[in-house]
Amino acid sequence: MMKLFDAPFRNRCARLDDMARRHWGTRLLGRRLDRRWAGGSEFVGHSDYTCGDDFRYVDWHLCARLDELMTRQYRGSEDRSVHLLVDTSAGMQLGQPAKFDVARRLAGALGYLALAGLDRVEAVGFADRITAQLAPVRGLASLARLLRFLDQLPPCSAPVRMRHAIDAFTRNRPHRGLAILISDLFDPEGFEAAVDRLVLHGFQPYLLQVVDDREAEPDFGGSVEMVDVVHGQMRRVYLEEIDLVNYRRVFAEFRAGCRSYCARRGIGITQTQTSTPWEQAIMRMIRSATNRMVAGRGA
Amino acid sequence: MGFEHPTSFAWAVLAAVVAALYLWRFPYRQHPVATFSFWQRALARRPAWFTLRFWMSLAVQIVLVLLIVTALTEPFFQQVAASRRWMVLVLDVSASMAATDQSPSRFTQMQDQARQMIGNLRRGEQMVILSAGSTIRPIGRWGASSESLLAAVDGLEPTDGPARITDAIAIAQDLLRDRPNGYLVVLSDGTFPDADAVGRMHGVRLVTVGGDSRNAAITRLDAHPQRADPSRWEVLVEIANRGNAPVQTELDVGLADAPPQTVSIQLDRSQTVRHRLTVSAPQGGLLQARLTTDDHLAADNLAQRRLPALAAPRVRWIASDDQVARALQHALRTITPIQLDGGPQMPERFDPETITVIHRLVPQEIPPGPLLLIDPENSSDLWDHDGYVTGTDCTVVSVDPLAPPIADVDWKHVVFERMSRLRFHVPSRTMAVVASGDPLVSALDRPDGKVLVLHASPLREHSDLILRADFARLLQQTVRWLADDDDRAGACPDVVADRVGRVWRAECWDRAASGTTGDVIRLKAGQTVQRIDESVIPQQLFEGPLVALDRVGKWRTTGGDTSPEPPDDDREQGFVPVNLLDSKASSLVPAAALSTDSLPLADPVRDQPLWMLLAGLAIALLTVEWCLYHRRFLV
Repeated sequence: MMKLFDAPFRNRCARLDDMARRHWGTRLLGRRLDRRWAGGSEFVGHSDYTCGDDFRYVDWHLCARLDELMTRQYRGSEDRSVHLLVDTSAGMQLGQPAKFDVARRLAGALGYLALAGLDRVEAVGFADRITAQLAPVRGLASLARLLRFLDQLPPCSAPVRMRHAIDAFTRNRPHRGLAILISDLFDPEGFEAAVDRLVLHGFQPYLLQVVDDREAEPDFGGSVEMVDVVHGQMRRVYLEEIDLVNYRRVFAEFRAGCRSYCARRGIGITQTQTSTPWEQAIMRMIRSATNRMVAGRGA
Repeated sequence: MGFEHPTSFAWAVLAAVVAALYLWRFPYRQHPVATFSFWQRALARRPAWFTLRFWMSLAVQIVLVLLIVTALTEPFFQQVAASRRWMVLVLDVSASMAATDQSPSRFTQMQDQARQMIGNLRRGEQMVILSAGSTIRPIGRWGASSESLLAAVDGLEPTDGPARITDAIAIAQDLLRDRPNGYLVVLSDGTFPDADAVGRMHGVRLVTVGGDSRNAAITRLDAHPQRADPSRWEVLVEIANRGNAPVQTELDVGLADAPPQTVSIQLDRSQTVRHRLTVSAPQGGLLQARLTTDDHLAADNLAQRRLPALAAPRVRWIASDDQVARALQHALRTITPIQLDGGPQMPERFDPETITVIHRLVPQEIPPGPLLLIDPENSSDLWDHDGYVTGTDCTVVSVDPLAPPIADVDWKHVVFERMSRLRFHVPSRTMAVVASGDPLVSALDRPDGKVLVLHASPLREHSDLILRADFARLLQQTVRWLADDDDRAGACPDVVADRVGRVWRAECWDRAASGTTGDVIRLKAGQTVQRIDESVIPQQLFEGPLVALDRVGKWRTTGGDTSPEPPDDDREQGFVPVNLLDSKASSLVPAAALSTDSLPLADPVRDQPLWMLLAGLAIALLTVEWCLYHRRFLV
């Protein structure tokens, strides 16, 4: 019996899948098609020969008819792999409900959508390293395996070091594809380096930021002893109203920085809070991805 | 700097409480966070002065508490305390203040001004109000609150008496003696006696109300019985124009229960007219004179007087001579009504209530009671007979015209041939003197009753008096004098005064019923005095040993152990008609040379108490603290 993923969860996921297919078909989260021109087996047409083209793809018959060099164009098969990277660090244990639980539910829902689209799904838990991983699975028949993995995914007391974890993830990873990073992105060293690594290794990253409501809008003040659950440090402060206001500003700047970074890199990002129902977060992801797809076609 | 309530500084301990509460902090509450980085950046944004904010807020709160505590002590500057005034406000409540030439009346206008002065009192200033009518009554006392003073002013009503402003000023000056910054204000219409002098008095500010007025007043109502017919009364009514404008009116005079006589009157400014009328009132009654005019003062449009019923005196004649006996009976019967009897012999016993007329006969001891002795021929205990005066020495040479028994007797043509010479043992008053210097008519002063002696005989062999109408007139006047009937007119008005010197003129006051002692109306236990004939003003009931009748109208005594039951009929005894107590009180014209700027005293300036400034500062500091706490100007 899984605590996080009960039968209603699956039913909701099924409804979300219907909605998602109407928006993006089999392109989960509107991912780009990974086409390997002239390297595949499916013939799609001809094009003018350009310097550097492989002579083996020159269509000599057509050249004889048209008296000019034309090369044959092939489309390769899509690499339809989806990697679910869930932050299991100590900071994710905070929140009501815990950010970790929300992250796992979201990962389960996204895994459902991916499996329903016959994608290959791999789930990974990470903190300062890869703490757990599920071998790639395909098809809805493997959903139970995926959900069980997520349900039993152990939390980690270590601080998050996303770059190290991503380095370990990309190493010896034969299948690229969509890498959905589910975290609060509170990496002291910054999450940007880790995302850059994913891009560098041919992954198509998508960020799903989960923060707690009290992290976004702290409602406490006065004499406060703050405890850093990651490092175990404590700090006593007397919080005034101005401190809360400044904190909200700093936190808003951080989230805006995340969006700005992703916009510059063309990376999809969805920011949600623990109080937001996970279906609502998935639906926002669907709408956001649909908008990006429409914008891409227009361009 | 002084403080009204220095004990309120005890509340300053609240500052220590506030400081203790401020410095005492709640225990730290633990809050787990995922990272310090955001908080570090937020705390780094605190302004540099923010480290002082904690102590600034504490200082502001302590100062706030101290300001409130100081405000509670009601501080004041010594200069302000030194300039505080002790005020006496003299309010004129005389009859003229009821004039309606101002809307709604002079009295209301004066009340408004009094309220304004009370409202202008600065904190710590004291005021006493003196109500100056025909009595001077203090309302309020030193230290009375503004609310009680206002209530006292609201409760005042104008009287129908004159204003004793000068006496009130004397009392006010006594009250202000040894008081610094004494301030005496008189609110009046300026119609009281010596208004000019009051206006020039040092230390007195006279504030006047009123304006042009129209007023016809009954200033006098006198009634005297006719000598020829005492059942008819000669009524003298004096009407004066006491306003600024000519008036035209009608005067109704008559008994209350009979149709009046009406006289049209037109009066120029300051003009006074008198009307003499005759009213028949054998049974007495309430005589009323009323002006049917719509002027500015109604109290002086009515004057009342009670006419007593004519009494029938009992007269006994004693004369041995038939001629004289017939003459006496004939003359005495002209007096109506009268109870007459007599004879030639001396009675065994004399009734002291009966007037006795004796011709020549003289008892050894003059009996008590009123007596008329005509030509006594013997000595008695009151005189010695010393022979006769005869011939021309009997010619009348001097007559006292004010002597009631002989006032209307013509002595010039009366011839006497002989008269008795008497040497009196008791004091006597000579009313008529003959040529020899001997008295012809003498009145003896004795406690047992009046005695009038006519030294000559009216017999024809000695005089021609018996043939003249003057003999009957002499008898009539003498009987009326002996019966005290002349006091019917003279007794009215009675003058009554109370303990504090106010004097009232109460017409025909029933002394027996009221228990009057001397000139003071002193009611018996349980007695009350009540107005009975006023329909406009509610009836007023007065109780107490001394009563002031300062309202025009009829008053009646009721209650008490010995007083009679209240009469149902106005003709009965037991009520007092009261007219305007002083004819000067009806004047609505202020003194011509009245100056209201005789005293260079400024109007009181309303100042804001210092505690209000402190409270304002406290509110400002509260705002600062609120802003410091919420940082509204920082975020």
